[in-house]
Amino acid sequence: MNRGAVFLIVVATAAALLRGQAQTQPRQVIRTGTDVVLVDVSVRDGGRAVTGLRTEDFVLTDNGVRQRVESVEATVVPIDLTLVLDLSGNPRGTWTKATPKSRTIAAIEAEVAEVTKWLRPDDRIRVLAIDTRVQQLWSMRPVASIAAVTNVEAEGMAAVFDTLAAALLQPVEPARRHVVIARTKGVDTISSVDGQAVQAIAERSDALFHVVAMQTAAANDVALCGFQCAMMGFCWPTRRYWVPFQRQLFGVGPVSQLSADGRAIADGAGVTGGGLHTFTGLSAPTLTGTFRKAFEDFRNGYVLRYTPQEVPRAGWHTVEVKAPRSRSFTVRSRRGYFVEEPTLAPTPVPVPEVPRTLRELTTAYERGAYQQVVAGVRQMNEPERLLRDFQDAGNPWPATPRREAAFALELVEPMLFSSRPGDRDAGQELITRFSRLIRHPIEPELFEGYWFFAALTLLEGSLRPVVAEEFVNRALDRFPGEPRFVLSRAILTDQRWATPSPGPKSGGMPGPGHPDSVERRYQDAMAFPETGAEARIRLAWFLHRAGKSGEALTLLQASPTTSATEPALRYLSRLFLGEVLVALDRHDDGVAAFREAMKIIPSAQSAKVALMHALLARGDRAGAEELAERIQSETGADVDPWWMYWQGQYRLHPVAMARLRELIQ
Amino acid sequence: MGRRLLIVLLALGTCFPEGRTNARALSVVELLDRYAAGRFDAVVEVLSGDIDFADVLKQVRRDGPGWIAAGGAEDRARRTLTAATFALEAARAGEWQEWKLTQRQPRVCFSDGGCLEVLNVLYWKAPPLLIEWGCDLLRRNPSPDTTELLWQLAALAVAQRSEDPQFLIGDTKIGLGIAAGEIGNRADEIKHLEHAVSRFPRVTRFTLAQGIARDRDLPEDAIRTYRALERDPDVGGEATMRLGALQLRERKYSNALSSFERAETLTRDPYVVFLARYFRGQALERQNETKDAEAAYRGAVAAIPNAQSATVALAALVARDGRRAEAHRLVRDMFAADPPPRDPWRAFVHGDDRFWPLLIARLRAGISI
Repeated sequence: MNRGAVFLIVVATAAALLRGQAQTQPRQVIRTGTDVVLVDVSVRDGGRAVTGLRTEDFVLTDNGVRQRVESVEATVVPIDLTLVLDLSGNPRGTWTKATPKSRTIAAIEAEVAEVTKWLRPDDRIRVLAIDTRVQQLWSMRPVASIAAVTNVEAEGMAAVFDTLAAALLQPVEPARRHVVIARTKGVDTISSVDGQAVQAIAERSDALFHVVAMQTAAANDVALCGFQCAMMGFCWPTRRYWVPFQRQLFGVGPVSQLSADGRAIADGAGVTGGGLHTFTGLSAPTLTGTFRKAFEDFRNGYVLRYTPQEVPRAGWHTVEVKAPRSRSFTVRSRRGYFVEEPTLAPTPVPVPEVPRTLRELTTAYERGAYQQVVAGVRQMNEPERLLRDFQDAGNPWPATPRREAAFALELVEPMLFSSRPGDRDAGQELITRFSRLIRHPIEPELFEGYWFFAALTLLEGSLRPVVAEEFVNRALDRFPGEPRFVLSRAILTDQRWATPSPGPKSGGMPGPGHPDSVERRYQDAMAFPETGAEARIRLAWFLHRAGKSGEALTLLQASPTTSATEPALRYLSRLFLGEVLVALDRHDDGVAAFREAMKIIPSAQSAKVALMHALLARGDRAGAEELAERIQSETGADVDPWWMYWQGQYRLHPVAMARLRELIQ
Repeated sequence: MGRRLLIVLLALGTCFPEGRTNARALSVVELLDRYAAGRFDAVVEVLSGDIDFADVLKQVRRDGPGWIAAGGAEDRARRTLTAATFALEAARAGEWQEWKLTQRQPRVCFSDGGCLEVLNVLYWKAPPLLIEWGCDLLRRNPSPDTTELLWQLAALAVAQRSEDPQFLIGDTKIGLGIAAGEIGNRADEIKHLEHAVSRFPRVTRFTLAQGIARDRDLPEDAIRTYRALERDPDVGGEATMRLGALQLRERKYSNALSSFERAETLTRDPYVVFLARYFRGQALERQNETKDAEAAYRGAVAAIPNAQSATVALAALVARDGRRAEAHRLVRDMFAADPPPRDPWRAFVHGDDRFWPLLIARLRAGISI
């Protein structure tokens, strides 16, 4: 077994690495000073450690080039010990009682206590456990800081290789030595990497790597299974029936061979100066024993210091150390080290005031610059190309698909309002696709509801009722009885009646029963407090257009319309009331209603125009002229609700998008 | 026979060095009261201890109906849900301890020297029977409702976590013989999914579950199921990803890669996207396309940051390429993740168990009303 204590640290490289980790946005890596390499070496003469050697007693080559050993120190470097314990279960699922967690924890703590007896105050330890997943029971810490284990998973599958890889991929501080000692039953059942990968990592690692084979435990697993099958007839698992694969490192008996994975691990460990420890004769290796030997070697070893000369800095360095003073000396040291070429950190993508490219837009969206994105999208010259790029690139945020779905709605708005049919079709296709992609696998979620609403407001706004009707049916299928969707369906039915078109894409001309459908659907929406007022106002306007002004008047005079909280709705209810009253020859009441509407939104034009007509019809020409003057001279700050009446709930699109943006945070 | 019995007893002693004497005696009625009162976590904590689940099953069967009836007509539905959900919680707590026994039978030999091989015998242990007890309770309602659907979905989650397809669809070893584990007492089979499907024939998650249950032993059947579900808006992406995983297992790399690509166009579910990308990485690695494999693992890590399987696979690749600093950073961040993300690969066959927190929360909310 390997008893060589090895230690190697590329001081400057590690220092640069640590510097790099500390900086949040390193723009460049500055190399200062010279790389200094420390190599820990043990020299033995037979079974005896050789002490008292000096610089001239060592010959050290780096990639075949002899180096000047600057100093030899007998000091023992502080150790960072990673212990890896295998807690996985028997993959054969034998009929045994599960070990209580408390007992597993007690066993771990006892084992760790045994090892930590050997550690000094400035040494540190971390403990990893092999089970279905890689568990870090303690992160690297001084022995004095070890706390009780509170939870551990055990008796699952065995992620042996993944845990070993994770143990080895630990950055080591320049003045410390990393030692990994793993104890495993040697059966991997679920890792994502294999033995060859662990070997390659070990060869590039700064750690001293020992693996202790738990051949007895592995043999017991097999024997128990065989016994239960032969004697009890229980030849199949009694629990846990999934074993993706079984990759064994070694056989189970005292005389057993290593598998290809086992050889890879043994070779990898050997390169670090450690090894894979199996039965020696009838003696089984132990975790504590293996660590103790490694630790003793450290205590009796040397640390050689040199500055590499005449060898390229980056890449793999093979190190060879000899002590030629006596032929009987055996020198154990690490075989090499690896220096990574410093790389520049990626420069953050700058986001212009008006982002133009997909990358700029997604970056801005990610940073929450939503108004910049909206501005960028609205000013886009080729929105169809942007949409194509977006679809080709896939989800820029795979961990947060909601963000992508909200972003899709931002992109699609100009497409839906485009004058080019191809653009509109592409926009519709995209939102149809996303209506499927945002579905939660089990149940509709709040986000999905808001997303559907935001999409529906766009579709209502784009005045393509047939396409939108398909969409609202889908939304109602997911959220049956959702008031806003019920209202949306009514508005779209109304839109279709108001904008009849014979083409196949428009669903043909509305049939004779269509007005009844409009009425019925508005009545459905009137049943909900959230949408009752708006549905009532819209139904009234529909009835008025259908020549049923009397019925319309009844609806508009009812309290829900007059008490609508949204100014736009109150405005519309008074505007429509005025129109209905005028149509019923109640001109004075009509004028009063128009004046009420003007008070609600003073800058809106439609009520003024309606009033102007009413005054003119009543013979008040001067009043009408005065209003006409006002209309022409005023620059209204507010959007006239009438102008957006036919676009349904599109006026609520900004609110819906704001809610979506909140939900993706 | 006597010698065999002795050996069996000895073996039992080996398996259960402490026997069941340490198992805590508990009152199911008391636990049901606590569960109905909304003290869910306290009940789960009790069930997570050293419990004799056979005794829990016995008590549930004996005292459950009386406990439900004691609430009167107006509380009957809530108590029924409480009892059925409690049974699920108990099944989930115990399913990894003991699920079923399949016992090989001694040959029957005759005086003429001829011998007859007897098929194996299946014995269900308490956890699956607890699920079935709850299922039976809810199925008595003539019209399935959304509460039962939630319960059936939660039951599927528990059943898939057991990793045993036999409970869901029956013996997958039929026709393969004694050595393969074929059973003779087919009347004792449960085939839980048949119950769920008969109640909710249009819920495609149950159809997908049938595919998953057939995946290991009846791959052709599973492929047919996965393909039939491809266009389904709820499970199409997952079905296609699982089809790819099956093709990967069969080393049909090109088919697998195209399935993974298609899966990503059908869903944005990070779980499915992660697995499609992770498996893609594995397929590419096996074909020595290291650069593309790295990109695939990177994509998987982007879908579920710090999920172990893809993170370690990616770290291993970059470390082998000499980029140790990045590999160290990946592993460091993986350990620092608190709470650690659920790794889809580590629970690949557990299927809908990933929905357990959501489903049990809904069921508990129904009980708390």
